[in-house]
Amino acid sequence: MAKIAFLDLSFHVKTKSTNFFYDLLATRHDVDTYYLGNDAVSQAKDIASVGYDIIVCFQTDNLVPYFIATGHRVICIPMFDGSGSMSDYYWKFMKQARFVNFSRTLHDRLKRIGMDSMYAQYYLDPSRFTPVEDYSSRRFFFWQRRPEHGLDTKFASKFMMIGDSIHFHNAPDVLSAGDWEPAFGTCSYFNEQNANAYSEALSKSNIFICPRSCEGIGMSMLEALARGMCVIGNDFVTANEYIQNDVDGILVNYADPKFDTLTPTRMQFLGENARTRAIKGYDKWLKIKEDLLFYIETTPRPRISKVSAKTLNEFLINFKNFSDGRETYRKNLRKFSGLQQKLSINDDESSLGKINHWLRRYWLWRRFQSLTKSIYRIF
Amino acid sequence: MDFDLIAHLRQAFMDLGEKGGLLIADSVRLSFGVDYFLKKVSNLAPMKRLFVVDHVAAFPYGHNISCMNVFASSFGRHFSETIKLGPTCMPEIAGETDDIHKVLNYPYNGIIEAKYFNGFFRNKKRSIKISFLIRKVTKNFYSKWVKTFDKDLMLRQTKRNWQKVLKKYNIDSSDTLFFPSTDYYGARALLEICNELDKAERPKMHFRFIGVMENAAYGRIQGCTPILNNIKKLIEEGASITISAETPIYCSYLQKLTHLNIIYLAYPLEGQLEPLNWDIDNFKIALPGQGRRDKGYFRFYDIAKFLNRDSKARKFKMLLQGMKLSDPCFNKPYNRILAEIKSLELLPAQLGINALNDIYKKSDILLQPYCTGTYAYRGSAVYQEGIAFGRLFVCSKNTGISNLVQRYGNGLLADTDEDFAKSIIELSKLSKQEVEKKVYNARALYEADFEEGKKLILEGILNG
Repeated sequence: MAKIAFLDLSFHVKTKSTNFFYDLLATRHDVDTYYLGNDAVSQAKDIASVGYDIIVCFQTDNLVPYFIATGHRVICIPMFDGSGSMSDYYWKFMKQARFVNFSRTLHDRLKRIGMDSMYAQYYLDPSRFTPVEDYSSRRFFFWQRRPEHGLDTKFASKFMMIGDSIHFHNAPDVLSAGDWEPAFGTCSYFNEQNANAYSEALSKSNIFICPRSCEGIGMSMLEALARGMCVIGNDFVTANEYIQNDVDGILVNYADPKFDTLTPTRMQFLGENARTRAIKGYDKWLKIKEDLLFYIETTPRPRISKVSAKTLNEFLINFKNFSDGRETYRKNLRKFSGLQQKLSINDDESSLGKINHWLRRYWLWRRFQSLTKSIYRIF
Repeated sequence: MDFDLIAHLRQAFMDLGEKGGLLIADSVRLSFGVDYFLKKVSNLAPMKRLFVVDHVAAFPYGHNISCMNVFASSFGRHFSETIKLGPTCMPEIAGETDDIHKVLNYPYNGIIEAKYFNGFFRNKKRSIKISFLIRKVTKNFYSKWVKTFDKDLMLRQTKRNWQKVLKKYNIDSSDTLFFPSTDYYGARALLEICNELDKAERPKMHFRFIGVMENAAYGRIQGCTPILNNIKKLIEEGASITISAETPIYCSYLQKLTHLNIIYLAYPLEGQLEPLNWDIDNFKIALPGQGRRDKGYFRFYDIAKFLNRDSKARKFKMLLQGMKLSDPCFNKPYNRILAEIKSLELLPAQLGINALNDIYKKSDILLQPYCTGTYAYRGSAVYQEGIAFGRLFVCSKNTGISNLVQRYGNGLLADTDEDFAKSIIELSKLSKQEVEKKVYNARALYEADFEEGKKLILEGILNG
């Protein structure tokens, strides 16, 4: 039994969407969960000093280099919606970590740049949900989660051209629900006293509009699939990884949604396929769980030369600048090229390769290399 | 003794074995009439000297030296004298190489450098680099020579060396040269010399093909065709040459190529069956032999993963020999990952005979996830040792070894990594008695096959 630290974003305390991974780890190991808030720097330092066997960073991939530098075995679980747009330079800080990806796109990309990644597709247990039986009328459901991104009542009204009724779940992630009151349809709200409000409303509908244009996993979509609803999602990650257009759901471009009429037969076809997919997917997930645990347990210990406490401290402070925007963050990362070289040390590299790697830090050497390459190409 | 009757008896015993009947090695051998025949041969034999030849026995590890010794002792008792010929660079191993005459050249420094290159420097890493350099230079030199001038310098050197050896030992038609593991330059040079000799001066020859060094030549990839062509030509001229192969599938392959009679000659087993541990709570699975890509070294992680997934309550401990640092496929990160598998014991790449024997003794099931490309026709020393110790196997389908496993019934075949894990679990469900019966039968049949092959070879030499 290993001692594992499970690092997560404090936002997930509310959504509980990462609990499935904690439960998986807890089946075999002693797991401590840390929800990172604004004081993530000091929290990271504290966690590193405890002496965990493995540190699992769920959507906190920017802390991964720090834990590698302190000699920890690290599992990184990045989410496409959070880190999908980060550069290769960013990921190379984490070369000695192992990745678990719930997005095929991100998994493929990390594999291409030489990362050790495992792909898994998560599904909810369909037996927990009563499947939709009535496909006679078109009853839409839309969770107004990101109205600031244009996914608001106005957006949902476009679907009403082919719908009979719509239900809004008005619970934005960041903004206040009061500012985004829907002018039509029925409505429910996030209510801590009645946690089932969402499920009750969902069970009365048969068409689900995915609430975000880009997802990390897409738990709400998974629930709709498991219920056998006709799911409409944006043709982007991860909806396009879970849904095959016109087979077990409908993929549209959220910027300019175009769709055909939904007949009851078509809705039933899509809904039943969605449920079948969820059943098969859940069986596959049950099978892959053991492999996933084995993958986590066999994470290798990183091999790095000593990193000064000052550099590490600076790196952690830079982590704070993440909130200033990605561009600033990327610029700041460039300052830590030395740390990156230490962290991404390639064991397979020959001595000459290592010298070249070291020399590439200098502009003149890079110019010389590109010049020789172009001369070589000419001749 | 009617040999058709022997074949009939053999089949009957095979059937009995499959139905769960227990075979007794001695009774099988007596039934085959092999002992009877061998006694007859030794009474009649006018055979003078047996030369057991191996140009590749230049390493302290591997099986070439022990192979020479066991074949010499097994066949030697039917000859008035046995002389073992090895390469000049053969290392000194007490009790193993004392009676081997180091007179042959070693033609394969460009392919596998002989050990003496590693002794130049105390620093191990530096010596690896130097030997790598020497290997590259030698290979390039001889290969380029062949490609440029269409003449094989190494073949010429080996022929010169053979001429000296034939002269030194006064080898003539009453002598027999026995190659327990045929190599390209050694065999081809000898055959070309014999082609130039008079019929009365040609020694009798036996070549045992094992699918390894008979294909190793500088310059062009030509396989063992030049050797086989030379053999065919000499046989047509009336020379006494017999050929055998390590596996039945390799026999049929060579038979297709040459239309000659190829004998299946197994490996002479030594020692007795080792008692089986078969502890249900602590199964030990081993992948003996130096870690190599074609030996499934990189498949081991996935096999361990599936075993972990499917084994449920059963606990397996795994023993794996590591990869050599100088191996071009050596991968440090992969080794670090293997080190994190709790149930895995990672052993050094090169082990002495005693340490290797310990692995066989400790283990319950041996794995051979070998590459079907490299091992399509080949057998394996691990299989021979495993069968001698009395262990079960799980090995890759469509290899020479899988053919043996099917023949002797001492294991299961698998294709994918998942299949390997499933097969291991399936074997682990057998009772100790069942396993003991299986391994006992397998060894008895293997020994009987060896005796049968030996009889045919001696018959060939005697009649030739």
